[in-house]
Amino acid sequence: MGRKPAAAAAADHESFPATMPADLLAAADCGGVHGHSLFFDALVQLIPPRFYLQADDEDRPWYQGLSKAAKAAMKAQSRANIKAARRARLDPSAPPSSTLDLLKKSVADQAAEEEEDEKNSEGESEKSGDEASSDDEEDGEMEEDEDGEDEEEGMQVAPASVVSEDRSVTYEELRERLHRRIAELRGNRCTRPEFLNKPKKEKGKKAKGKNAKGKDEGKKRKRADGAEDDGKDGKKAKKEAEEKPDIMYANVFVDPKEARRRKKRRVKNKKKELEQAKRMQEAKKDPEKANKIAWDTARRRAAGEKVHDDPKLIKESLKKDQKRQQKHAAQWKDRQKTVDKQRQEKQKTRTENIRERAHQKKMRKIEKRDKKLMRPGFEGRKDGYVNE
Amino acid sequence: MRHPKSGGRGRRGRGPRIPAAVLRKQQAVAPSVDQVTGAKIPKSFVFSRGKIPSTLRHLQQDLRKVMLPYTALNLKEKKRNNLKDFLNVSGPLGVTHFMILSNPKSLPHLRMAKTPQGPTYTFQIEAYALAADIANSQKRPRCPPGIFKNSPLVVLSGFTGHGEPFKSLIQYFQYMVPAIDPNTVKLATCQRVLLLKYDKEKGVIDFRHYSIKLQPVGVSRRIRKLMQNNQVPDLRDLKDVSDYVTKAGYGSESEVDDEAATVSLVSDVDKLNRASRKSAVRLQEIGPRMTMRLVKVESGLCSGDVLYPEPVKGKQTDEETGEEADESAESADGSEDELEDGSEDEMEDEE
Repeated sequence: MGRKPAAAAAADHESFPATMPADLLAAADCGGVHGHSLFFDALVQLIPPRFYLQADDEDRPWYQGLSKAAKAAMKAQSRANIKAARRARLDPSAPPSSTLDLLKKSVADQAAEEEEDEKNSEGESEKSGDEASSDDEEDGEMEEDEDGEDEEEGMQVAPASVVSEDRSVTYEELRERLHRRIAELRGNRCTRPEFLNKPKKEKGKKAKGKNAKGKDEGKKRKRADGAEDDGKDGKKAKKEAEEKPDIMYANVFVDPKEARRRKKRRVKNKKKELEQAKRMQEAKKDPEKANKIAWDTARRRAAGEKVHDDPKLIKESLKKDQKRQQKHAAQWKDRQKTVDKQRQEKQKTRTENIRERAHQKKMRKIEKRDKKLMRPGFEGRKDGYVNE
Repeated sequence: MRHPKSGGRGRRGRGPRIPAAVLRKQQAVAPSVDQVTGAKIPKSFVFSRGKIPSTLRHLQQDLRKVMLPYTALNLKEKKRNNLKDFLNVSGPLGVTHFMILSNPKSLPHLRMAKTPQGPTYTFQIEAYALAADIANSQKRPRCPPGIFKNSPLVVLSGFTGHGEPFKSLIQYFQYMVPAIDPNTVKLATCQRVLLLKYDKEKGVIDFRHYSIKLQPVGVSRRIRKLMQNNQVPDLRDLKDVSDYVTKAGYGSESEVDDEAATVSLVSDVDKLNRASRKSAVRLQEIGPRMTMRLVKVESGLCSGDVLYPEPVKGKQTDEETGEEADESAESADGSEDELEDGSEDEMEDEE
């Protein structure tokens, strides 16, 4: 987790707890160099280590120039660093990270570094670069460019492992939590698919069953009813009833044949109807047929069909149609007239306006011309000679 | 800022605001064309001409109830209204049938006519019973509220094979009610039956009006009552529910049904009568009961040629037309006496 036992050990000899600036100031009253030193320590303690201590900026790569993956990695690292720093800040057993302590540490590290610099400097720069980059993102300082290589390595490894470990732990943990929650919620619901699907199927079946059975049941019923007072109604009216007692029901459905026959009788043209009616009237004069025709028309009328057998009425209807047509024609003429009139009026006003405008233009020009001649003592332009 | 409600905005001082539901009801017009079959729905007016006694007025109201819902239940007629007035109104309203009650010479007559030019069938009512009388005579009169929401089913019996006036009469009665398609009709809407039976020997038509009740067959009385009442029965003396359910009860007299009166239902009618189960059909009489005799048939609306009884031409009784069987000759002879009186009086009435 990035706890640096070595660092802790190194700072042990100076690890009196991070002193508050107030305490230091209080202690600075002792005077002398020690007092001055304590005073300055107090001041330093007031400054956050971020600002006071120099962090290695040069080794940090330019963020905007990195690739997407690299950027993501850096971000992850910085996040991890922040977390670690927060934990470390609040951890009582962590090495103290106040400015003063870090300053002292850095002094000690520098001394150690100068010794190692002679040995090998390249590796360090890279590592310190890593550490430095992570440094800058932190709030509290997790001073990582100190101590020895192993510490650095530990630190390098540590943040990486911290990041990866954290990630894996958190993802898996979250996933597991999610699954647990789902199972919990699912326990309350009905999970048996038969129960969920059945009602819909039943509904569908019922509807189909109804339609299929309609015709069969109708037939069954017909055979079943023999009694006279059977209330359910069934078929189209058939004159030749199948049972002994002849039962007929109200007309149920239009037989397509009947419908076609009825349609044939309908004559579209009124004039033709008139002629047919006249012919009918002639036929009525014949006594034998008259009765038959009369009953026939009565039957058809009772059945709801419209029989036009009175030529007088047909004539009236024809006349009405004609009158209506004439009325519409008159209205149309009227409309045309008004439209024409309006158009003419508009054109008139337009031509008037144009003429006026032209005229006004001329007048304005004349006025302008004559303005120059309105001198005192003169009356303007005159036609003809002066001495007339 | 308060905006006035739309009802108030529209009224502009024309009076109190009518709630929307009432307005809709006022403006609702009975449909003219049947949605299912596409045919025109026949509507009727039932009214009276001349002075009629109060029992006939009750009969008129009963007849209006029979013809519901496609009739004017509260039709108001004034003395000065002519038949022409009714004709004029019937056009725009889509009324196709008239039923006219009258009382010439103290004999009640019922005229059934088809507007606007249709034939008129005049019946003399020989005997009648009002709906109230029938309800009083029954032990358990039954009139559930919803039965007048749909037209009755018309059943004719004994009309075939009798020649001309009855052929057209068949058509008339059949088209008095809207057409029904047996494949698509909802069984729950068939709640009434109008039965017209022609008695050949007496020459009268019986007019009966029943309500239909379906009872599931094979269900014991107790279970049926339980389902109908939805009340918990009294189980005090019983040890177990099975005692209640399986107790052998006395079968009621009417339970002895012959097979003919049971039908197998196509679809669910209600909770008790389910699809593809047997149900017994029970008819209970409601509404008026009449015995009528056909007296006259005219080709116009209370006008026009008299088609039946056959006009006597000179001294010949007309057997020229082969259609008219003995029936018409009989009735012509037999009823001519009463006919003369009836028709003359009626003509005076009309003037």
